[in-house]
Amino acid sequence: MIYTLLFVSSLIFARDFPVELREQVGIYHYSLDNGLDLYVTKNPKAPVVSIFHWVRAGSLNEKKGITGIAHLFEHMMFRPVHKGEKGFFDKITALGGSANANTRYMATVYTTSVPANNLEGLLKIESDRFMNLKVTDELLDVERKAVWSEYSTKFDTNPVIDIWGKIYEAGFPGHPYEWTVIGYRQDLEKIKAKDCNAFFDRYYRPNNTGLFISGDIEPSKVYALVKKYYAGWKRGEDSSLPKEFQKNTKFTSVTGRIPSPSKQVLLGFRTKDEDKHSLEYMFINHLLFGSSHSLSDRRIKQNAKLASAVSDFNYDYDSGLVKGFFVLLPKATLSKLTAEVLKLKSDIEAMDEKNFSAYKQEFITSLLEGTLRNDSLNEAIALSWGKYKDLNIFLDWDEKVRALKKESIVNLLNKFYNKDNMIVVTTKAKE
Amino acid sequence: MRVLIGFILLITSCSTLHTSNLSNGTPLSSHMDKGLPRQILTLQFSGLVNQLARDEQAFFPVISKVFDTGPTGMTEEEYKQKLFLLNASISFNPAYRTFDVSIVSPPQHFEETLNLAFQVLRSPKLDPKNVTEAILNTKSNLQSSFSSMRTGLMYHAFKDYFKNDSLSLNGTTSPKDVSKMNKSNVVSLYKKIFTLEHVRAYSVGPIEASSVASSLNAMLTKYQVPTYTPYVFNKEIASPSPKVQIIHRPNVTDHQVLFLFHHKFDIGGKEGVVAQTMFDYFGGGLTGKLGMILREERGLTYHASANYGRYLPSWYIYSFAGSKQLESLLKGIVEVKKLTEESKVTTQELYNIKSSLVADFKQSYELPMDDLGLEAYADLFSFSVRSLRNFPDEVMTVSTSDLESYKASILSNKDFALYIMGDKNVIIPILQRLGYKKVEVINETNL
Repeated sequence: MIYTLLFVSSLIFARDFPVELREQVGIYHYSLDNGLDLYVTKNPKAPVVSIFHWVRAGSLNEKKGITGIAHLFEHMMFRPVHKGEKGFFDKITALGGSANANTRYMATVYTTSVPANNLEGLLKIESDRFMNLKVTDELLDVERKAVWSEYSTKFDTNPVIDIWGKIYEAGFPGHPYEWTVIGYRQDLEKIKAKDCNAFFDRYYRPNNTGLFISGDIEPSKVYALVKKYYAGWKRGEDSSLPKEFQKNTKFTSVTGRIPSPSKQVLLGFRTKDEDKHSLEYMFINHLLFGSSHSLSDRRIKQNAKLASAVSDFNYDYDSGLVKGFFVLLPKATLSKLTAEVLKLKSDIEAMDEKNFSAYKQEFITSLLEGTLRNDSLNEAIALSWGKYKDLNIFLDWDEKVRALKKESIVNLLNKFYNKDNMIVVTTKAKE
Repeated sequence: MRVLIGFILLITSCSTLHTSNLSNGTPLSSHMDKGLPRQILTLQFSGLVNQLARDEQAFFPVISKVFDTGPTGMTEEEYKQKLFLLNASISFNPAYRTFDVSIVSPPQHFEETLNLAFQVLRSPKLDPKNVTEAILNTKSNLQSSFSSMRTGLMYHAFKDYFKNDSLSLNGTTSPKDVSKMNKSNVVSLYKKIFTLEHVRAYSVGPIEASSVASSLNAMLTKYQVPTYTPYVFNKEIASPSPKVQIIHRPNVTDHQVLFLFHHKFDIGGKEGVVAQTMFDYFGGGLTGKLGMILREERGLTYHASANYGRYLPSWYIYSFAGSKQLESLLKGIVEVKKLTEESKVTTQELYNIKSSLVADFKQSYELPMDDLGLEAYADLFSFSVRSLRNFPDEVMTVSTSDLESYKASILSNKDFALYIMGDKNVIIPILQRLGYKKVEVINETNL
């Protein structure tokens, strides 16, 4: 057992937030012998307990011909574990809880919440499905239809979701990023229960999973419960991500499939060494597209008047691309847009320290305000572990963000922020 | 700066609510919450959206865009740079019965940000160039949001059902209606309705209530805000029109479905509590009857839900399906409604629902700012905020007989409006087979 008491760093910045502290919160880390990583956050003010299971199994772990299996399997995780019993939603409702899940490129994340007094009941049913689920073709066929409906309403009718899928397809040919999380239509039809069970067997292992529990709970007691219910979960082969996309690239511009009355554009740059520069990439995303005062907003919306709206797009959820979303005004052209986007790097190079510090402060504030709630706090911890592979990003974000230098940001931009590495997808014009 | 013993501030243990009247009579509710890094102030312009007709609602997103460029005497760039350096924001949000101005600021910059907000409200840039740009930007953004069929359906259905009654308007508009805005009517509508006399204030954050009040009073004097008068909403809303209507978007393979029923819920009373319980039983996501049967058992849809209207005297069933499943879905919805009406609720089922609702409520109102939102909602709709806050205790008193008699009365209602957004060439034959006789068709572009 490895037991580490981690304290979350102070968020007092007397210069900026004269905030009084009221609570001491600790994050406790445990590792089970089977490789399960457990993080317990003691939060006495939490209304319910939040639980995240972060499984390192997403669409990047799929192979061509069987795409969409991670997502389809995620749906099956809510079906009965044993014959004749109720499904997961029925079980969790009986505990006064709620549940959801989402599949991403690099992971599948299961989120549940229950009143603290029902935590043991929840861990019992959770561990049961994570260890023992067996998919049957009969139930798979029913669930497949629900996924069809999801496919149909999202990818077949929504032009923005269509271009989201397209930017990866165009940007990563021959790499698992090429297909969307929901997979190719023709593959959905072919997936059988045995494929799902093989996927489960391969990836749903404790050494591929992070378990994050936050609430008004005693960490040592939670650890004891997790050991009780999860210790029997057998270790398996480690999950691994495919190598970074390596092909020589040139500027790529494609059009979506679904007509749209307005010209909507998703524009992205493939990341390089994303794992090694997680915080820098988060900050770059904020600077370029995510901030309400982003450089895109200033240059492209305010000054060049090319767009009526600018935003980032799914950064925490996705990986592989830093991307911005633009709603273009009628007279804007794609060439003008791409030219202006490329100039954003020089806007960073030319930025003075006052503005650079202001962006950092804004970023810190957004992270702080984004983790005020118990479930969003738990999610931030899970994200730091799962996507950013560095819990210290969360623990020390104020310190780390303040320490960011413009030079390091520019150096990183020099690696990936160029026209050859740019992919642009525009919605199809409506006739 | 990392310290050895670190703290994360989640929720303060000290959150106090103060209510008072400002110097002009404007009611102010203020929560002190030292857990928030910035102060949040919402100015609620009660009744503002109700003063204009449906085809004038475009005024609200347009004027919001105008406001976003800052006050006269300051370029847009200067204004936004100022807010950026203050680490503050000022935003504008029309909604049912209100137009909200939200001011967020670090405490040390609160007064300065507040001053900026009032400057904007009193002296927006209403020159022709700025207004024209705002109209263009609004139209562009609307075309983008209307690319989602759900947006178009929800925008249209409730207003149409209630015959565009003023209470059914919420400051949202369509790309077509934005075209009715121009340089002169935006200015004239602004002058007509932005009188600032029906404003309520709600605040939460690390600043003490008395300081918030003092800052606001200074603004009221400086910007000559008139004496507060409460906005009187019409008590009755127009009676709805049962109908079947298709909103046509050609060549799509997915169709959005909305059933609307009329009922005036006593949301702040016992009925509100029983209603929430009943709708969770009937249409609560994947655990309600609709989700369990239509999705989990039959695989007809990814989503089917039902709920009562928080803002309008109505309740609804919402779902969507591909062309091949649409007919079965429509039939299935009616079947499940009937089945639920007649089903017996077990004690265990009821207990489960109530426990979940309590947990959801606690999560939804985890922070003092959530409670302030509840209060603002209660004030707008004249509900008892005390009753709303007491939901966890009240819901536990709901009995199986309460639920059964209530669902029988609500679900037996056969008068409804059915709105379907999708391809009419797919939908019309289905509706005919299902026995719907009179079907209206409108084009999406005419919304």
